[in-house]
Amino acid sequence: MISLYQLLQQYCACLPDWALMTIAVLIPVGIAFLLVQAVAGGSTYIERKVAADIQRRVGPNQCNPNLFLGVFMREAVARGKGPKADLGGKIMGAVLAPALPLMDLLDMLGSRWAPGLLIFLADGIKLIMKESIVPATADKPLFKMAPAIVLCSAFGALCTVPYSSGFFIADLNIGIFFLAAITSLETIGILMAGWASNNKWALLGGMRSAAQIVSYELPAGLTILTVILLAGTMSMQGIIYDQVGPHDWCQGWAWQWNLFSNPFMMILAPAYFLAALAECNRTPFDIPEAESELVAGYHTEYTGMNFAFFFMAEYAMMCVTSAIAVTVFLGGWSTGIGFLEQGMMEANVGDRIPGTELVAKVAVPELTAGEPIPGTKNVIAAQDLKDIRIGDKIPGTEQQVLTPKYYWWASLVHLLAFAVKTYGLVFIMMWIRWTLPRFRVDQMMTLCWKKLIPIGMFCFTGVALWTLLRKPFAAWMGGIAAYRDLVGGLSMLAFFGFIVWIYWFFTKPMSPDEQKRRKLIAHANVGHGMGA
Amino acid sequence: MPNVVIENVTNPRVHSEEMVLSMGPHHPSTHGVLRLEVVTDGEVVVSARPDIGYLHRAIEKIGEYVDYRQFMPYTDRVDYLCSMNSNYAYALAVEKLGGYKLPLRAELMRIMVAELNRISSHMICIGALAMDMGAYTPFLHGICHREKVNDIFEEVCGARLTYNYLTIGGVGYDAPPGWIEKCDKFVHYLYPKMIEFNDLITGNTIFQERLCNVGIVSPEKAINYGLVGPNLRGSGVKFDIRKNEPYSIYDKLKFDVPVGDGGDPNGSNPRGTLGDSYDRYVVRVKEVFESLKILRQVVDQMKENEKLPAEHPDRQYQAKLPARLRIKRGEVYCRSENPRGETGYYVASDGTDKAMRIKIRTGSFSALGCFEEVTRGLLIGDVIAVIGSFDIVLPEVDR
Repeated sequence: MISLYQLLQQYCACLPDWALMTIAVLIPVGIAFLLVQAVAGGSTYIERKVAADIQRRVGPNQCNPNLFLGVFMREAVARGKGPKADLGGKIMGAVLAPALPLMDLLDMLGSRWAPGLLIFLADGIKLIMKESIVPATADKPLFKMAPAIVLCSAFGALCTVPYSSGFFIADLNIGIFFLAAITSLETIGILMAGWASNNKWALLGGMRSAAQIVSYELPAGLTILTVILLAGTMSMQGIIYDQVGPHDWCQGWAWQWNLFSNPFMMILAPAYFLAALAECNRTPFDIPEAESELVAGYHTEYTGMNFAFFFMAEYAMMCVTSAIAVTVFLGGWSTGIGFLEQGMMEANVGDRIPGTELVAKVAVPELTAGEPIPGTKNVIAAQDLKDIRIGDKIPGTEQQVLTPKYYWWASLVHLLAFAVKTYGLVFIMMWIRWTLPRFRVDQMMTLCWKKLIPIGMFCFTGVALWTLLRKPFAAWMGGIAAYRDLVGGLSMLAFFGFIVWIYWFFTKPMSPDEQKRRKLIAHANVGHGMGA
Repeated sequence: MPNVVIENVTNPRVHSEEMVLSMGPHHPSTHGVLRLEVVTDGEVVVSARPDIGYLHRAIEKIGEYVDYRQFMPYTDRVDYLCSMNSNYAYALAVEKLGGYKLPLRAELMRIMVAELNRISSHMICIGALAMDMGAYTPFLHGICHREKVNDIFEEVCGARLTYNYLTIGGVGYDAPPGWIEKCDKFVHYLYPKMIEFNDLITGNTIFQERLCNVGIVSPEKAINYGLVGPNLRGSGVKFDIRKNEPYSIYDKLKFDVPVGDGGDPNGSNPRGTLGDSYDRYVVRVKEVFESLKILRQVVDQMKENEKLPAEHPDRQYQAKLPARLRIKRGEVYCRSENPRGETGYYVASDGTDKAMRIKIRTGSFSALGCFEEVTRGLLIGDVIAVIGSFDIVLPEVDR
């Protein structure tokens, strides 16, 4: 993997080092900043379309993708042909005229495939032009700071999301811990907004939000702990490589993802998803901004762009929590197709590490503190182990920790896979939002403290035992490969069994009791061939 | 049982202060311009006192200055979600006072529009209750079904909200060609849609958790506070004006009176208590099915009626009444079953063409009466549930 800094060193060697450093920091930060808006804008569009679909509406259909450009171009061409056109206008019209058929095509595609896609730009322009009102009795500095903090939290979180094997902004060695921390920062902003607005509804919303997010941090945190236990690393890329491999335990197949790696993770995944819903204040946990109870909750007093910041942060946070769920359970950017992953990574144990004469003998999870490094007599100290990254030299040897071979298109494929998975989860969040009512405050708390946290503790213990017993069990079975095949086969069975169960659940004949209950509600047989 | 127990804080250093929240008159879910003065202790409601009068238009007083027919449009505005039923109640009162007899077709048309309007009003109520509980989609589904009713009404009287369709002595216009078939089609359309609606929200666990055991009105309390209509029946009291004091031809129609059965393990609300919010909700859903049942019978009768010759007295949609109604001295109180319960019109005549006094008794007003007692000790979210389940429509409260 090549970092942007290395690239710059290669191609802009004339610049001083500090300039390269600055550019290498500023470009990703700029990308992250654009990502917040793109992700928020795209998600609002998807949300509106999903809502419309569920509610039998058309949804946004006015601002088509080519609208602004197309209007300008058609106007220019028409003026160029007109009697009053000067030379410049004529040239402009003549130059743009050949592109008009393309514009028509775009118009057709845009209005058919993504009608109303640019509505979020129109919304954004509207919100920017609106006045940002600060209530006279508000605590002004806090009031103005709150949306910024909320947005910063979303923005910081997007910086550490592992978008792809080759493209990510930062891969911190405390990645998932950092994410958990920075997403909780949103609470502070919301609490500030609720307090500073000097509005009782906003205050109630802020308080509810603080209570909710702090509570649901616990089940989410337990899940994250479990995954750290499994992967042995907190780095987001490390967690993904742990599920994707290629190393002895994983060959890049979908059933080797954490979700299927042991039964406890299958319990934890829905629990984490619920906690994620609660952390982004989404239905059925949208209690802090319950519009029917608290008017608009903590952002009641916000207008214009300040309001938009909360809005953007909410959608960005949805994507971030989905991305964490994908990373933690669904193999991150992995496509889940083993031979494709192996082909793209090309780093089976024993292969040559691309670009070197070294042979990949070990993978990261094989290194254990206190045990001899395979092929040497050296022992790694625990504090050294945590610093070892893919591509590093193994201490005391000339060997390198496994480096996946880098194909440029692999990065794109992985980016696509990651986007599909993340937006799949985001879609489920939207689906839930437009279907379910919301919990009451006490029910929400009961769910967290009495159900999710015990489940999380149980699964944490279970996974710990599982991880402890995995190696001896594999040895007893006659090798890692046998263990892998068994677990892979079972989890595949479980996976398809789950799908069949879901299908059965939604199509099963109702129990007599349920039928009776339904009949009691819809009991009037209206006659003439009608009735249940 | 009450969800939240307010305990005395034993530690004297820790104490909470009560906060007065002014909920409304422009709050998203007080269903109009209701203002609630909510005293809360944290999230717990200590008291919620309704403050009404923001929509008072002196409709009753106006009744003393316009003649009997001219007052009809004002009754539309008494309860704009079920204008047909409001018209109906007033027309019944004046007809009883004047002793006018109606042709059969007029009665059939009236029952038809009244039941259709009951359905459309209940659609708003159950949809809005679901929306108050945070589920937005059922509301739009309800609105979608209501639009179909509005289309039917538009065809027959030209209006979509305040219909002014019923007149004293009949209805304003005869059914246009094909209208009865359209109603028939609507009945067939709505039945499966209501099953779908039940799948979407009525059986939803979160929805039930939110409504069951919340805002309990015992049967005794319901009678003492004068609750009417679905609110009364939700408490398990089987009282429906259409059955108990039948007007028009309701006594010849077959339909049931659904009542709440909370707490009954074999009932529709096994996890609740008799008279809770979910009971009131389910009674409304069931009433939609009952109205469909009535509509079905009336549509058949209308089809029979269509076969009569045009001059037949049963085929007329209006009784022949004098151009200017002068009703002999007297007074009458006449009540009819509206979507929000019994609506009574007291009309006193002094022999002129204008009423001497008109007094309207509405269901929402009595529902607000017991509001403070019902919501004590609930959470803020529950207050919204109780408002929604009582189906309060503010113009009906303030008039």
